[in-house]
Amino acid sequence: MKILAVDSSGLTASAAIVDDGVLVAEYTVSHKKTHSQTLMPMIAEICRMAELDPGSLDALAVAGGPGSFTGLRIGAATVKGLAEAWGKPVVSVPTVDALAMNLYGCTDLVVPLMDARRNEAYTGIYTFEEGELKVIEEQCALPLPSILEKINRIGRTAYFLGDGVPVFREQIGQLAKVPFYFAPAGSGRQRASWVGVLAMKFIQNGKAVDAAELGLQYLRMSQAERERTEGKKK
Amino acid sequence: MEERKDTLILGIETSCDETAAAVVKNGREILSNVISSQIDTHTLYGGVVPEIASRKHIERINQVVREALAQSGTELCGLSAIGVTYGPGLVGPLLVGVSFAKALSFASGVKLVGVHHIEGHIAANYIEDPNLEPPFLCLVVSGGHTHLVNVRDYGEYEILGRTMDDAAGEAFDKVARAIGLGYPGGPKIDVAAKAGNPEAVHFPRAKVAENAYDFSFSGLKSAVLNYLNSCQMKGEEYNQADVAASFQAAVVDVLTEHSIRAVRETGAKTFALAGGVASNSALRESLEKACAGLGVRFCVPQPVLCTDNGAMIAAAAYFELQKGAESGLDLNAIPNLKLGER
Amino acid sequence: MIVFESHSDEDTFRFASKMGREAVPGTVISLTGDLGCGKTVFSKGFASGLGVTEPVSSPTFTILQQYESGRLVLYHFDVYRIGDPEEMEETGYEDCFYGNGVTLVEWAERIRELLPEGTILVRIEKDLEKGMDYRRITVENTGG
Repeated sequence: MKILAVDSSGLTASAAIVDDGVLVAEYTVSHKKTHSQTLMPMIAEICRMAELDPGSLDALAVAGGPGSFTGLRIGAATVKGLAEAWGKPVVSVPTVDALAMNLYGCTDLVVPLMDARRNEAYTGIYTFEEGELKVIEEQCALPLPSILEKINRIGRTAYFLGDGVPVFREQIGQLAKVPFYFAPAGSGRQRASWVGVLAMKFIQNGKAVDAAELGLQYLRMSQAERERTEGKKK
Repeated sequence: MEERKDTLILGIETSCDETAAAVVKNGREILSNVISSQIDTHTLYGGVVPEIASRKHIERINQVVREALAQSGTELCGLSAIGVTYGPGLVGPLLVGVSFAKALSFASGVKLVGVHHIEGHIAANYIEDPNLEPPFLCLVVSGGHTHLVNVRDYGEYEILGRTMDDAAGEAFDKVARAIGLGYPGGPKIDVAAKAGNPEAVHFPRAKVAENAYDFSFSGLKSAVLNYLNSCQMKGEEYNQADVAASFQAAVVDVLTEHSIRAVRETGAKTFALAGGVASNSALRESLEKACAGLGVRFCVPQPVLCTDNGAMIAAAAYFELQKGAESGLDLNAIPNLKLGER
Repeated sequence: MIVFESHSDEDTFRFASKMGREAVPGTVISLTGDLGCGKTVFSKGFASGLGVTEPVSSPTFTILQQYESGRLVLYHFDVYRIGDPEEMEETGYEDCFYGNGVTLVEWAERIRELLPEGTILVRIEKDLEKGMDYRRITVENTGG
């Protein structure tokens, strides 16, 4: 199965071509947030270097949220455009799940942290069992103390990664009651290859859709906002 | 002899409230024109203020483009170029259109041309009047813009005047709200004014000292609000239709006066009107009459081409393409893009 | 909290201009007041104090207008047309609120929950008893 994957959910812009067990090409840059200018040329470059025949793609995949609203839309609109022209289906992959894949194989807790501003993080709790990603706490937007409370309750060693680490490092030090570590540079950021890898599972489970149907998951900041919107819709 | 191939361009517009796409032939002939809000269940006149969420743009872009291609009987590979608005406007919505268009361009191998939103409005006149060519003067009036422009050549613009405060369309919306007419203000005032007396209340026709071509509508807006307040304080009822007509007359007078002054001072032979407010019947009538009086040719697009649409973008892209302009895959959304800027 | 009584557009303009001259990077000002109370006059004065040379027009339809000719970049928002704070994402507002320019937000009460800590609250109120042109301008610094 061959997939072209894109992740522009955070500060990092990344594009990859994944062909079954092989990462054919990946281009990842974490430098300023000018995805709007750099993403498409990056995709063009890996297609050129991999001599990609678009007809051979099974699908396109994109990190569908949460993340920077603008970044998510750039990625999604780009993938929608490619899929439209190439006539391929698309898959939306949860951003935080893909981030967790950076620590593939870790049997302790893997906790990605993306800075969601206003003292909240886009986060989730994962681990790996029998070689597979296991979701313990689904991706969500939470204030840091809340996610730490959950981690403390589980009581296992936690590995933190993501652009939220510098933001929340100190608080983690104060509130964590379990041993914890921070993933080193190289393991901490979004990579489109993981979006591609997870996408393969989604596709096998029949979750690929027509580009027009591709949805994004912005995730609400708080319950209160969620309720206010529900109330407004009535 | 080689047969001249038709130039088909797909125009995509997502600068603010609208998701729109269209296919235009040779810069002048509409083959399809799809505008998202007009296929909404809440119609434009449903009384609901449209959301500006580009969430909608991302949800609709594929369908709108697909529809535009299907209705025109064209495939992507049959296009000469894809035109897309890259400014001015809101960064979120702009990016949806720009990102999508770049991807379409790369994947299909079709050229990409970035278009300025206001240049699009001006270009709507090329569609309406197949014989219209620069040079001409153009008044672009909408909710967000009021510009008096000297179109010297395709792609060559000189701004003669602009608003110093409120845009004309915005003044319509705010006054409509204040007199209880609701949204959308322009069309509602247009209708209400027909039953009103434009001389019932005298509202100021503001001049801007520094530049006779510049506009100022916030004083007019305040005058209307003050009038309504004073009626309220005196316990008097005001006549909605009269206020609407009097306000409209004040706006139309100023727009017409500035335009005709510009025509006289530049010796222009042709005058065009563009933008959402160009749908206003009183404005169209006033300018048409004034131009006729001077023996100047008057152009204005049909209402559906006055509000935001993809056809105007496709038309503008055509003329850009003729000049050899082409955008790369690094085309960015520029919320502040100035007219004539590249 | 400062209360300033303005008797004319010029008074409002001058008061705002002083604020503009004193504004520091990262300042966010919330501007609230009814239709026609002078928010745009205030904005123009503020911009003038900041050294902006371009004409400052109303961002009601465009939501955001940016001016780079002054001492600091001025982000001038009008969120009158925003129905839900979530729609603000379209504007890239975070880069403005948390950047090094100065942000002025008209009708800011619509996005109260998005305003950062330290936002300066400016309220312009009419008092018809005191005349059509009278405005009471209140400035409250919520800073930490």
